[in-house]
Amino acid sequence: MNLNKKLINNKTALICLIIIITMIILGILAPYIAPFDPNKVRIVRKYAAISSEHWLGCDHLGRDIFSRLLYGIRSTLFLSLLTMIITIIVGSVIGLISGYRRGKLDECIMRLCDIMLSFPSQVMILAIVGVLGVGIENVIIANIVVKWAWYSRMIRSSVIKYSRKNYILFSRAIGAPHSFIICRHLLPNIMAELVILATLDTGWVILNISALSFIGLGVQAPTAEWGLMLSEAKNVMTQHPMQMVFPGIAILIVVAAFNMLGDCLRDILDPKEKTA
Amino acid sequence: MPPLLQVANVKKSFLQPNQRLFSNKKTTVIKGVSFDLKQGQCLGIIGESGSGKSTLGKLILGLEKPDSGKIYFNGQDISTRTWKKSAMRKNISAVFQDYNASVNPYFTAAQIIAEPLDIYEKLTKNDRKKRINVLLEQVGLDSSFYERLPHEMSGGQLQRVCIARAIACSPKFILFDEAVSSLDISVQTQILELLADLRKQLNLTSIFITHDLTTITYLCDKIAFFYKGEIVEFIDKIEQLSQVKNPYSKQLLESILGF
Repeated sequence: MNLNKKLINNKTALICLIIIITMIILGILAPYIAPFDPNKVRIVRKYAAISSEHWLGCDHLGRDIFSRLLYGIRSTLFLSLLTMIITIIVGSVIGLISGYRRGKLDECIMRLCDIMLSFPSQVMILAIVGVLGVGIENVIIANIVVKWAWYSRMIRSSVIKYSRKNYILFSRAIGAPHSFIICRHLLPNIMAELVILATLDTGWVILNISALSFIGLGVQAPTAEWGLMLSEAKNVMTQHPMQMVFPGIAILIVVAAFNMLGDCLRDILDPKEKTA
Repeated sequence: MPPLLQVANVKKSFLQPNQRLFSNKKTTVIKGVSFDLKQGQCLGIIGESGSGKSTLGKLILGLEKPDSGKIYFNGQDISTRTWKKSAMRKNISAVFQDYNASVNPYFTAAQIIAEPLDIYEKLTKNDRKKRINVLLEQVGLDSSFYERLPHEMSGGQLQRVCIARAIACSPKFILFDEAVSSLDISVQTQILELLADLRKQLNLTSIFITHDLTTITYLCDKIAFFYKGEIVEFIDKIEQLSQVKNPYSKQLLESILGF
């Protein structure tokens, strides 16, 4: 309740949140609100300019850019969120186990993390996609493989930090069950840090998926995806520069919204922060 | 009557930090400590920082395992699995020094106090609320504190909440690890008076770990002088405090009484 109040009071956070939620709703409702079929090719309308019929014009195959942008939310945003959620769950579970159990198991997991983290992430993603083959599933898998270690590390160090706090010592001294300590003490404290990181990182994942689609490794044509749309538009960058503008702006807005929301959440989720 | 708490020749050492990979050098922190404590008694453990007294406290609470030696509570070994699973554990409680780190910053005073209750006593909503209010009253706070968050309370108030939490399940034994050291003098006196009252009311057995002799003389009836991981002198009756023999205890007493 208090949290909602703080969120509403923080204008930037509110605007970012509204943008993201609107995007999600638009993505879900895409089949109902899109004026055209995103994959319907109409060569006569090739590079059509902005008009009342085609709000954002048409691309090199005469497909309606506005409809493609709407459908693109599904591939770009939803796949990024899916990737993020899986990464967070995998990373936190491993990090929690590692930090809570300590000992030999912790040592093994952490050395594995060290190995994962010592590769440059882009190279690692390219390598994994190279091995598994081109396609969006493999891009998602690659993103998770690259990122989980990062989250595990973060969660583990938080778990260790909080485990030393007196209130957890107290809980252990009076014999509180592990589930109580983890759910009531550890998770709420870690959640704040996790949400901030995840929000900031969603931008990174969106860019990554778009970038991989741009170079042809991720989402495959004719599926509408913002990175892929940019890639198709770049061929005619000099003749039809407007083709690149809209997918570019779409990516910019969403990534910026996630990044700014992450920054604001950092302030909001600090329990010591007084309501303005 | 058997002793409530029995510490038998307990030893504890730690690996030196950052040496795990290449050496097994250990630092011995507790070098064989033994003592008994009967129901209703209050023991003060006094020693300088780094003497291992807090580690001894953690061993008694079962937060660390001793390398050798045993700790018995009510005749039961606290390192066994049966003890760890038994409801008897609610009889051991603790109050720590750093009151800010002692409470979850997301919990309200009521949630903090209710933690042991939620684990050991299944109370109805109404009973739970009543119990919390009684406990708040017992530590000298009124019901307006019920919904307060830790950062909205002062150090003394927060330490009172911690004490309320410690006595919530009416434990037989409470360990106070520097429980008043970080409060200012006037608040210290109030808390000490509160503790003396509670001790009488609840027939508490307790251990005070501190580096401050005045706390001990106010509350305890037995004193253990702790120096470099050992009890160098044990005084059974507080009245005999002036007759200490060990040079370390003498020095400690003189340094305090000298003022």
